[in-house]
Amino acid sequence: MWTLHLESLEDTHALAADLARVARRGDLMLLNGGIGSGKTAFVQGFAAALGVREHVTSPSFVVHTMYESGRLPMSHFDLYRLEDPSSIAQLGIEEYVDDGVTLIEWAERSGGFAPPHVTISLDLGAGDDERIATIAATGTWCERLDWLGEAS
Amino acid sequence: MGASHLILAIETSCDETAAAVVSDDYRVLSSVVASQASLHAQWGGVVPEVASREHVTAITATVAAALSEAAVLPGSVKAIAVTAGPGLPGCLAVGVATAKALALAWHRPLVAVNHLEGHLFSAELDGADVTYPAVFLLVSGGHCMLVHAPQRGTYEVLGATRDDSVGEAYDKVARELGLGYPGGPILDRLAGTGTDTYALPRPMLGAGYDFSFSGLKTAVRRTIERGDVDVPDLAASFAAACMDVLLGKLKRAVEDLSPHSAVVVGGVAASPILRERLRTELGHRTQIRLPDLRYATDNAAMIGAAGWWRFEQSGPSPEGFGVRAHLPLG
Ligand SMILES: Nc1ncnc2c1ncn2[C@@H]1O[C@H](COP(=O)(O)OP(=O)(O)OP(=O)(O)O)[C@@H](O)[C@H]1O
Ligand SMILES: [Mg+2]
Repeated sequence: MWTLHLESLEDTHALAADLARVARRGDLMLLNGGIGSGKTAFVQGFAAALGVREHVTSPSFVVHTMYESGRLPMSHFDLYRLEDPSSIAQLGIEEYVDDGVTLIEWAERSGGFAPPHVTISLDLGAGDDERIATIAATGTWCERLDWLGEAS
Repeated sequence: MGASHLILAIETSCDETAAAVVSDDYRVLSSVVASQASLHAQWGGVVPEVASREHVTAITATVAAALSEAAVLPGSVKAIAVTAGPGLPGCLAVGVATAKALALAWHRPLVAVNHLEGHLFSAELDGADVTYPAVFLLVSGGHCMLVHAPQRGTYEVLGATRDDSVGEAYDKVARELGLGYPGGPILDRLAGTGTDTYALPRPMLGAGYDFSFSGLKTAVRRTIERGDVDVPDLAASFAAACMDVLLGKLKRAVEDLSPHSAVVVGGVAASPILRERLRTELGHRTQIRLPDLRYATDNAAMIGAAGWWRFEQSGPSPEGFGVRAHLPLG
């Protein structure tokens, strides 16, 4: 578990880019934190570092968006509107995971995802642009995030 | 009007199963919308898988209702129009497959329609006319964009949202204020009873034609967390910030491009606050056009009008067209 202080949007984008660099096919990244904590902003930074050409927007309304133009296919889910775990089961998220890298906003809305995955929780900090990121890893993510040990 | 100048239109891009019969002068003979809203309210939102299965259940009855309400037989339909994108792929596929099957069975040409272009035609239905060049503000649950049309059918996207759509920001702020979900319309009504007293940002108002609403949503959350808020006043302040941005960008486009008309389409065109401010703040500069309330939200009549236009311009779509979730405008 790592806790990082992000001073600005650029810091959030830089963290996302660091994770995008070590991302592999089959990766699952769970994003938690309330409204405006920066989950979509994180995915925007992640997608840019992955080489996605389209501009990533919030998928809260459509629930799921696919981007194919980066180094890996990227699936972007947002469970905000889905209150009930059985409706989340209907999405068939597992069917997308093997194909590329999957990022899920409001992942806590589901009953939980089978590991391995990495969970990034974002909180508002004191200043308008400050955020606190808590990162928890399982599986190979632990070794892949070793460098965070020095960074934090 | 000859019976041969009718198009059957089908729209299934999100959670409304819709069919309509429209004449070549954009008169609506029927417009049937089978909404899944209550189903999705029970789920908490649109679930793509559930929505596409629901389209399968409703599609044939919806098409049959559109034909019978218009009192036309398949034989007098000249062409079939269908939304091919953008939208949820599984949902679009139901409409496209149905339209292809009907075109094959009835020996009729098929026209693929862009859902966004459909919205732009919503203000031209039933005898209303838009004079070109025009600037369009398209604002709905899933879309938020500003479009310049030097002439009908030619589009230049001036800007779009960088993050959340306005409708999404409304629904999220409504939930933060404890108004339930989706609470956008409730928030809009409550805003009418409050006063704009909270200082909220107008994101990107001075910068170009793109929109951003995520910072505004975050500012509202911070205000709520500081405690002791007056809910109607905060609702009014939020709505004022949204309208300032939407109208500010539309105004800039009108000043920069001097169009003959400014047209607001999509679900937000139903907002009384927006309609009022449009008239007072922009009415003296250009002609204001708004769709009939029935055609502001997703429907197939607008797809029929756009379908006629595309058919007259370039004939049937190529046989093998498929659905395109990210289909751009223009
Ligand atoms: N350090 C930061 N990290 C992330 N976002 C920041 C930061 N500083 C400011 N912001 C701003 O905060 C907002 C975060 O909004 P965003 O839509 O990304 O949040 P979200 O967690 O996805 O919200 P939602 O729950 O609605 O999906 C953006 O406007 C962003 O520019
Ligand atoms: Mg988000």
